[in-house]
Amino acid sequence: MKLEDEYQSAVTKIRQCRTEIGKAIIGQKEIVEQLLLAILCDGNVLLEGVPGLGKTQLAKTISQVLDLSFSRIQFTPDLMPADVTGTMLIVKKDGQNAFSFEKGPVFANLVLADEINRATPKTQAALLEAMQEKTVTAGNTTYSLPLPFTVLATQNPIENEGTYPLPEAQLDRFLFKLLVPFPEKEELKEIVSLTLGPEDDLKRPLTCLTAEDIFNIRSLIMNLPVSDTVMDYAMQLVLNTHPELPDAPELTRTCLLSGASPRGAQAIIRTAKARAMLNHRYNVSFDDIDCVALPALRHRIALGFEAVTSNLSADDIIKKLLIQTRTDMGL
Amino acid sequence: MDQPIRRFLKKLTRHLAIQKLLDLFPLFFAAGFAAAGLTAAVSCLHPFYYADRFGISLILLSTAVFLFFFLLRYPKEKEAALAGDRAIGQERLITALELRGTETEIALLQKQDTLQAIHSCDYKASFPYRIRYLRFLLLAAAVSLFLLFSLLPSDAKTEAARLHQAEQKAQKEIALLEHAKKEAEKLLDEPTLKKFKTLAEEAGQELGEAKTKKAVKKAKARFTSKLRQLKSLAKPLQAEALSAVAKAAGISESKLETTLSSKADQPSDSGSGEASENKENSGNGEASENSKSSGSGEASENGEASENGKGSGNSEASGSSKGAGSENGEGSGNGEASENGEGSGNGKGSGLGGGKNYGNRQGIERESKLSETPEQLTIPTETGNDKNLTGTVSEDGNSQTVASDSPVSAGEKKDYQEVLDSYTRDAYSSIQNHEVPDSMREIVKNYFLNLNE
Repeated sequence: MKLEDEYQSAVTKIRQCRTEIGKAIIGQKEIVEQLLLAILCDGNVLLEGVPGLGKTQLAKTISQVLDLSFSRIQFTPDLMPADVTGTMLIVKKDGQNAFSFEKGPVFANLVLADEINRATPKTQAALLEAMQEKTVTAGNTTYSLPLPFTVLATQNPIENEGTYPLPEAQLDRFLFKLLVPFPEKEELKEIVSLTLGPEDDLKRPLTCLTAEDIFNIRSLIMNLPVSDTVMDYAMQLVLNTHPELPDAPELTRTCLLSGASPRGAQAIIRTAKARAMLNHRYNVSFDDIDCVALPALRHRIALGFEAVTSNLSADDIIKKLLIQTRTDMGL
Repeated sequence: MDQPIRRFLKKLTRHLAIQKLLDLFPLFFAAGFAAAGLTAAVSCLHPFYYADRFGISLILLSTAVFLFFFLLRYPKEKEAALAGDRAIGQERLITALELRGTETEIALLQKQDTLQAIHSCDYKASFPYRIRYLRFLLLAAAVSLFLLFSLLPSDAKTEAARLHQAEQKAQKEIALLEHAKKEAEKLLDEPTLKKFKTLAEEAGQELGEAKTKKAVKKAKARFTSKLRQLKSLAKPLQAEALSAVAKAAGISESKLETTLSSKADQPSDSGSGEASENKENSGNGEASENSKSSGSGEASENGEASENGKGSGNSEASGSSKGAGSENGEGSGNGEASENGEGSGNGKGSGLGGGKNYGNRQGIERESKLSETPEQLTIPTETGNDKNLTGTVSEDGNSQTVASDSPVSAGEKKDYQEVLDSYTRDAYSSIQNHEVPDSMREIVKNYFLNLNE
């Protein structure tokens, strides 16, 4: 198959996925797109939103559309690492007692880790290790997780009592942090009508992509060229988030405690390529960088006292840095 | 696929260059014309002859700076690609530019996509020329300012023209003087050359300070007059050379003719010396107003003193007072003795004859008009050796008088030092031969010793 046809086919399928997901999820188009980007770029996503916005439904729908196995883990304070990864159990085999590894819920293509900030750091670490290595070690044996493997973690921004916020080092492992917005009135109306209406109205989303398609699309994404100018722009943006550097902007020096790691730069370029492909282009543009910068960097920068007192959010700071970087580079 | 993209980028580069031209040209030229206009405005108030040329130079300078700046900032392909991407969108051009020469499948796909975007874009609508009218208005205002002040007549401009003409004339004369100096170096002997150079330098200074044509003429006239006097006192060969030198200085022979009767030519000069105001002369033969002359110079004047001057003259005295043996010997003749000059000299000329008045070598001219100390002496042809001048008291006196109606010009011109040497020899010879009374020997000796110091 010609390369161009492959790209066209991939784009068509991804668009179909979006359409299918739209049947079950009302609104949240941007979230859906970014989620798809993250999955296609082999990344994990942290979803932040108040309860009841359909985060679980979204994950389920995506797993259906992408033909991925799905599991949900509800994180609670008493959740143990073994509850996530699996444990050794004594079973009778051939009349004899033997240890058998009982796989945990993490053994799925798409894992929804609900309210990850409720579990203890030890349990969080178990999942995060699986996210990073894509393996689980039990005893002396290492078990590979099914590929493609993606974790969708959620957290509630309002109920912080009795929670264990993820440290920066762990947050850095998520490709994107998406803020799930509250639906608009019309969307809300549609949600209520759909979910409380006749069951026939609930349309089942169709499978559009398989795991193999996802792997192919990933390689197509990696092949897309990025010009030096665009690359410089992305790198300069990441550097501008570091207050300790001599050329750091005034805003960064006053409002940030620490900046994004190289993973942040990788996340930007990788997802920008995916976005370019989705838009029928064979190169990355400045707009692609701008679009993916927010979800890629908002959880990688630490706000300082000045930012908190000035009521500046991470998004506000990143938007200003985007403008400043363009100006400094004369773009 | 690289070629069509390259052609498009070249087109864009030209477009950007023209846009830069339209942006920068009015600014630089407005600055040039404004500066030129300011210069022209200043020239309306203050004499500045070269205001127009200076203004034009400023305009040309602004042109040069503009060209330099423009060439320095001439758009590169990358700049054109980024500019093009703003219209075509999505950094296709810049990526295609960087993929130039790459033939991978994805690179070809990308270039194809770029070409499609180029073909589908409306070039004129996407890349219009932006004209900043305000800048052109500024340029028009600056040009108007320049033209207005350049063409506006004013007193200062008239004055500037006048000063310029005077300067031109003075420069011309100075150039002639320099040429004359070179000729003088070839033709004149040392003493004459030195004098000439002094005259020329003074004339050069006067010419340099002249502010009007009239002042230049006057300076030239003064120089001519001094040169004439120098010639009149020079030896024949030197006089001829001086004529050639004067010709080189643009002074015709007719102007240089010696006119002894011409008092008007010598308002402040007399003799062969140089009289000038407030000058200090040293060396031979220079006396000047309010000055000291030192050295062995002696003013000599052939006959007439200057109109206003009181020359100390060594005008020819047929009588010799020199041998009178008294400090204050009297010479008489037809000349005019000097009134000034502190002479502890030997002579006091009086009467019409050429009295010899030996002024002090260091005579100080007090009068406004000089006493000159020319270089040469006019020696009477008849000196001493007269039976009447015995050195002793005689019934006929100790003087000899030769009356003459004409200006005393008889005699021989000799160099002062030569004369002095001769007299000194005679004096000492007289002493040795006991021709001088014993009581007068020391006096005579001291006298000549002082003269020779």
